[in-house]
Amino acid sequence: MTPAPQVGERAPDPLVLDAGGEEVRLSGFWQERPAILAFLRHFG
Amino acid sequence: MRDDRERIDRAGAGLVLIGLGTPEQTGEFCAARGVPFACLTSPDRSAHRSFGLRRGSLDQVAGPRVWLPWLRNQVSDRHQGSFGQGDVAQLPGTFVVDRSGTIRYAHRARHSNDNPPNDDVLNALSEIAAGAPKD
Repeated sequence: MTPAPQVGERAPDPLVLDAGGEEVRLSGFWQERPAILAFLRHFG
Repeated sequence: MRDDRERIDRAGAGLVLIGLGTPEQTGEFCAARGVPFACLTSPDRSAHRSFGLRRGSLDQVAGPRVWLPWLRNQVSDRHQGSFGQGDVAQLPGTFVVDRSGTIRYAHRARHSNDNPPNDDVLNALSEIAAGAPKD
């Protein structure tokens, strides 16, 4: 298993799905401004 | 929540929610509650795993309360009991990433009610805005 990334390290850039089912790179959300990433355990 | 939203906006940051349901469930969830943030999902948990978020034991995930303080007004208690569309064992986490792609704050929940203090998240944003060192 990949080690958990730490503060000061580069963030992983996984593919995620938007609400339309399109694949998007998470990095697109921090290119223009800092991002707070809130990972939830369930949704919907 | 309004104050936190204003502080996030003032810091020039965006909030991104990453759930575990289907895209349809994600869209319905956010539309029904008027969630004013980006709503994404990782049904296979690969995004959660990449950030080092694990599935917890029963003890770690037994708490029914929503963990994200500024979503408390958005999410009903009844909804929190609806575990069929996500993964109740997944432990949540919160990260702040700056424009260079560097992690500036990380909070991995040790149990389901282990919420990051809002001030910690907002302080990380303030440091980014001020161009302060990471530590």
